[in-house]
Amino acid sequence: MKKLASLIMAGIMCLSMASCGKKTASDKSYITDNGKMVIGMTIYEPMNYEDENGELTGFDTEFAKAVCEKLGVEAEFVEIDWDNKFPELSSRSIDCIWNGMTITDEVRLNADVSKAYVKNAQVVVMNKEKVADYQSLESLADLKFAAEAGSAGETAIIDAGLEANLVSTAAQTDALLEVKSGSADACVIDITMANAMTGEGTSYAELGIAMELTTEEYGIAFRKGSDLTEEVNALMDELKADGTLDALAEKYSLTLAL
Amino acid sequence: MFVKVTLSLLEGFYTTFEIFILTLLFALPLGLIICFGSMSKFQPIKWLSKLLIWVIRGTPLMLQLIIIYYGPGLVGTWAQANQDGSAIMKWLATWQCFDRFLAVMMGFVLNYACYFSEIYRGGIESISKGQYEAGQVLGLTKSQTFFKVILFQVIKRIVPPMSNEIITLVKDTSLARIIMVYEIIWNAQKFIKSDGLLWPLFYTGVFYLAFSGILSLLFGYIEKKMNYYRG
Amino acid sequence: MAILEIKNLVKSFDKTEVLKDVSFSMEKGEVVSIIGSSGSGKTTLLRCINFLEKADKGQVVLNGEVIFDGDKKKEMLPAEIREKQLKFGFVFQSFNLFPQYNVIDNVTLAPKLIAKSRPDFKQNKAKIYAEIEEQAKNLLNSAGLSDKYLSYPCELSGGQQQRVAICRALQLNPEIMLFDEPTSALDPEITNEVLKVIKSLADGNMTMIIVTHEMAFARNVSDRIVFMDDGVIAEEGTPEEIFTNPKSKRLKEFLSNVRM
Repeated sequence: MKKLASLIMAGIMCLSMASCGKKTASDKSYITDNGKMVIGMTIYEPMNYEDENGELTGFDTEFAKAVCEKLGVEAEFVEIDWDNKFPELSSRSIDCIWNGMTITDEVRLNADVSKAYVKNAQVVVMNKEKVADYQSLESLADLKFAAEAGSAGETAIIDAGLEANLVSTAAQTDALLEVKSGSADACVIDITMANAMTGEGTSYAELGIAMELTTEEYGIAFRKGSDLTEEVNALMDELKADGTLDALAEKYSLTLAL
Repeated sequence: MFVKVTLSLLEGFYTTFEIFILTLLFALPLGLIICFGSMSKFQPIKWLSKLLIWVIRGTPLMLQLIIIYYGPGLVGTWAQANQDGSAIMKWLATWQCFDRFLAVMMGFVLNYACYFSEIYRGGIESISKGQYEAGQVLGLTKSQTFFKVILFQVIKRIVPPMSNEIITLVKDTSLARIIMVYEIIWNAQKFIKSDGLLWPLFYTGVFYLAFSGILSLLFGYIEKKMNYYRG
Repeated sequence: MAILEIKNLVKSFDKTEVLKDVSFSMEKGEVVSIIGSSGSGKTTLLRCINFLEKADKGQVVLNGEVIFDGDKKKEMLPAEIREKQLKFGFVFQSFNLFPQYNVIDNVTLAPKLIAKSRPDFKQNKAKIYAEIEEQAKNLLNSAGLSDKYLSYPCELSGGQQQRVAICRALQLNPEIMLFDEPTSALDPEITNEVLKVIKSLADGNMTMIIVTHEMAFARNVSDRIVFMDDGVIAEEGTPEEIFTNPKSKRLKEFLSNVRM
């Protein structure tokens, strides 16, 4: 009883101190000793999700497995409560957060973050010829926009204060059609789709990307001061160089940030 | 789909049930020990027990679970970062998180033992001094008096508050998912994420209701059984 | 030789001195009633005799053996106290029957538990229990409770409960019976059934100390009356002496305030 009580007291004191830790003992040898890297994630398609057989798959799942293989450890995936991700990490309940996590100030404050590996952006798509004239937010002000109802693109338009002439469509492809048909001046869709569906050799050859309205980049979070951050960054470069990541990005229709 | 959901929820409910039954198994006797501690004539033990009860009852179970699970790991991480070579810091650096289920059990057992101990105390203190004295003048030892005379009367008096607390426990088990012990509500929420289905979440209510219904009947039966005398 | 001697008992609760140097002795078969106003220390005296309270100073001597010594009370082991306590039967004002047991179990619980320490318990368990139950039934029959063996205390009247309590105390074959205001919690019309049982014990030569407010009963049943006032024995004597010829002013006042 006493021991537990002192344990709780110690826990309370250290909760506040743990986050400002200095140089940690090698995290790499810690996971090597354990023989596994515990990866905290939530079910989130296409990064980590269960296929029809109930097997965990997804871009991050395969990516993490490839990295762990190079580290010579097993990848153990644990479904976590997203709100508790930082206590999970600091307390070594998990060794990293690897789940299509957008790199934000909040993340940087609480953890060390790898290089961005996947990028997602909401981009403004319009007629190629007009692209050169619309490179700033101000220039977009009077345009008539189309975006899928409830999509990140629509949110981006509203956040940028451009919703005055907004047409909501049923799908992102409908938004493209609106622009192609001329009933809207531009549409906002995500970059992965924009890259895949516009430009030479596509049905929307005459459309092009004017600018990125919002961007986000995905990174992997490690404990503060962990030597795994650099280690995984290096492995990421290797996997980029040998084409593994490109193949994965293709498979899951994502855009690499590397 | 209904069958699939039901099976998945049953699986989650098994964990719920496990938490419930193990908590009772350990918290009921531990509560009695804490109760004796809080009624002890030896002041340090008494105040330590009172302090424990105050801390445990004065903080949310959710927070206790978080501290018990993450606390040791955070201490370990902190000690590793601030190593000064002393034996204590070296020892602290080896601290790690408990197994998740173990942490849930520690939290629940401790929490419920404290609540139970106060119910026991209320029950024991409600028994008149005359019952102890009667045991004494009849030559019974203290433990004979307690087990043969007092305990049964205490049990009769605490059945209603205990059944209340135990049914609360059924519902409190849902807090286990805070530290990722996958009980029934977690399993139900998975269907929201993976299949966009909300109804499994509401469906869990059926499981809780059925279970607490059975418990209510059981306690009703026990109360009736003990009703052969008044006092 | 006196069966019981009380020597110089002193007892305080916090700062209040409840017994101030009380001494008296009694012979085997004698019935002594203790009377006095509330707070005079009579109940405390009774409780000090059988260890429900431990006196601060003084001695209790039973059959010539010192069973309690205020100077050595810390050395007494619980088992020792229990053994000596069994020399006395104690009847409470509020009966204190065990509500979860029926009448026969109330009477036999203690002797059955005590019998477990007998060396021949294992071989003769059935026989021992049968004897205990036999004795209990005899006691209950003589107290007029032959049809109440299986009743629970809550099903009995106060008078019946007190009679069961008396049987429960007698079952342990005490040398001296102590009664602490046995009828004070009873309705006036049923005190008689209890007093009758006590009277029959007196007739059977049982040694008894009775703390009571029933003056008529005390006068009728007692060989000797002790009047306590403010923690001391203010006067003692035969019922005749005490009730018809009180000497002290305090006793006169007391008697004039209680109805005979």
